Amino acid sequence: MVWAQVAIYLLIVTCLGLGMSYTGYFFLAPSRPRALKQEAYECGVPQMAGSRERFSVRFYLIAIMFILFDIETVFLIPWAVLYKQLGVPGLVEIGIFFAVLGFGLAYLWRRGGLEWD
Amino acid sequence: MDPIFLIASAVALASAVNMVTQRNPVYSAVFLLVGFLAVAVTFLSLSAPFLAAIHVVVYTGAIMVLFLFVIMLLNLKPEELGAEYPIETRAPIAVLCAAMFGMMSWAILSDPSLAIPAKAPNATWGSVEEVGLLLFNVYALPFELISLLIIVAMFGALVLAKKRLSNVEATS
Amino acid sequence: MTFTIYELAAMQPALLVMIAGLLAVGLDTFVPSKTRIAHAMLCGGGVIAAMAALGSQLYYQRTAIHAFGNMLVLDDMACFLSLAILAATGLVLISSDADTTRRNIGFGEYYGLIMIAASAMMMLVASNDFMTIFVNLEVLSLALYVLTGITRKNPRSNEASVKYLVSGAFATCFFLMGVAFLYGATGTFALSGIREALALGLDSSMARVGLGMVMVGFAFKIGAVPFHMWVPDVYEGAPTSTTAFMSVTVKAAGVGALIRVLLIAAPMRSDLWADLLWWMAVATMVVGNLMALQQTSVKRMLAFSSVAHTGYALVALATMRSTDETFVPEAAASALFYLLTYTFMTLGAFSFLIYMGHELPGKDGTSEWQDAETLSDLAGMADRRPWAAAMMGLFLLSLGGIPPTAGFLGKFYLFAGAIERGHVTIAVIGVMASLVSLYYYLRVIVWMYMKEPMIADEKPHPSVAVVIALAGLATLLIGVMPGAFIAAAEHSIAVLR
Repeated sequence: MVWAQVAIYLLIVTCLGLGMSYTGYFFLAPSRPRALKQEAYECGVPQMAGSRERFSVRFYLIAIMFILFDIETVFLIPWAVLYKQLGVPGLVEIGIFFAVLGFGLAYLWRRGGLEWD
Repeated sequence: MDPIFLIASAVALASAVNMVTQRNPVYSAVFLLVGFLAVAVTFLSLSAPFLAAIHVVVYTGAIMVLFLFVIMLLNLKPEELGAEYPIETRAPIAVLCAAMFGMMSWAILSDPSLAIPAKAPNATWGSVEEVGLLLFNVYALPFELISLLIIVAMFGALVLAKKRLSNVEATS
Repeated sequence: MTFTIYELAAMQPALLVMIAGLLAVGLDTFVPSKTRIAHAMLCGGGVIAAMAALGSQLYYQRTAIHAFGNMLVLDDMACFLSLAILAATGLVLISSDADTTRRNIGFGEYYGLIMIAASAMMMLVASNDFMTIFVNLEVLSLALYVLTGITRKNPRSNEASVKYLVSGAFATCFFLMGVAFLYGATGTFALSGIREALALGLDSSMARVGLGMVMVGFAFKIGAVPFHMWVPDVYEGAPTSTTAFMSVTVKAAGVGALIRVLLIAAPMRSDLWADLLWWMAVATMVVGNLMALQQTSVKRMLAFSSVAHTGYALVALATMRSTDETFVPEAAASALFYLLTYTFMTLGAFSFLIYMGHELPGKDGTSEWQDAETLSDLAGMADRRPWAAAMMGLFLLSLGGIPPTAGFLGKFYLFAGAIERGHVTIAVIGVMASLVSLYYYLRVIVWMYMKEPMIADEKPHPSVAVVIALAGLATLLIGVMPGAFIAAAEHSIAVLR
């Protein structure tokens, strides 16, 4: 049973990781908290503002493009596996697919979609 | 029934419920992530390894990234989350969803084809090769049209989300 | 399975439109000194070439082309609806010349998305398999979500786009779940395969629920009650040229695909869907017209009126099963003919709103373009723009169903057919509903002819005038000599079986 081995492995790894860190925390480390120590470390400079800042909207475009090209790659995998079996018709099919999306990439590039205005 | 399938679907259901009921969007996203992984495991136990892999790559990879980006773009503080809808609006929606679920379960459970025992799939069923052969032979046309779908999404994303569009500003 | 070049002929018209659209984007992106004329020529050329291809298919080829393992079939119905979609696309291309410049829209993407949406619709009406139906439905929806929000600085347009996206995604879930159920019940995505599996006599509850959910998905896309909530907001918020485009073409494509699904996949199970469609058609006619009565914005009124007109078209589908239990698929011909008449009168009415647009002073000294929307924007226009106002009157009378316009014949053909098949109740409800609709259509005419003008600075654009004239001509032409069009619609359905 493959799954049983995986389960035992996961159990051991978890116990080992937790055990090491908690042993260190409870028995080895001295614990003398001060107000300054509790703050988030920011290059040694006192904190200016909250760490939960809003991200720029420009990341959104990058995330969308990531998804689109990710989906594109998904379709490439079965073709790569079947490359020999599909032969020329398969090459033509994936060629058309990538020609259209290559046009899309060129479009993005030219229109500055890959730039950080 | 396969115990792994049962455990994975229980995890998927529990995380889906948690995802809907959490107030903090980041917690919801994490539960969604767990749910996606659990669904991938159910695919695996239903002998669809390629689908499981794609599910992890696209959903837990790309879609989750987008969700987290949007949550961080908005980065709502607890006081900005707004009031919960009152129970009078939530209850009918819940009833409607339950009715929908009931109808769909009834349709599956009472289907006469259930009486016919299912054939065991052959060993390669659901593998990358099987899916690929279908995709590139039988469903070649929809496959090519998907490139059109993706390119429309590219045009749309750029037109709607780009801060400065070169040609639009040029004409103004 | 291998494909031959010959099979490409089935998608050649759609392919021509698609390539023209992609080239329009390419022209905008890669050619430094481009003009609007070049875009218009490219897209117009694509539309005309596709029309020519369809014409040669209809007059020389004659037999339907089944391609890609019967996933796509270019038969007479596909040609008929494709021609209607292309005519609407061509007219919208002419009228958006004004809109793109006035609103400062990037015209490469605008024209490109319109052309790609049109090509997806043409393939949708030719789709014979749920896989192609789904992908094409998604391509056209995605293009329309973007077109709705393409005026990026306008908050109403953004809101409309988000609403459309969310409700559209919801509809897609229904559609996809229904397809999954049908696949579970029959083991195939092909419409003809589903018909064979259902004919085996297996009374499948999964197929029943699946068919219902697919119909809900279509009802969302064509805006039938009770799935019409998005229509007024989206049609009102979108730039008017986009509204004109989607109000006519999506209905033609969606109803066309629905007809194909019902007639090819489930003709012998009309007992399952006929009642559902009956109630949907009645609710759509009644709700659409009653809501339109209360609107003060003409654009919103036309949005609700388009909901009502979906209901009229659905009457034909709902009465396909006559009261003595015989199945009369020829009834769908009246829906096709109605969609054709609807295309020109609605397109004309929306174009008139673009024509009557004026500039509003915006922030920081710039001016913002505003299409005519309220009744007061149109008040007294008959004196200043007599021809355009007369044309608008024609479109409104046609929408209301007054002879000798196309709208009258469309409705007459629909309701007479319904009565012939024994469905008197729905025909009476339909006639009553169109009587109610006359009130709000005539109100616009009254404002145009009997009130004093309230705005003085409308800036008509000649290209929109061309569209209004052409649409008016088509409305009159179909109204005066409907024979050829009705014969074409009947022939389209006859070969479908």
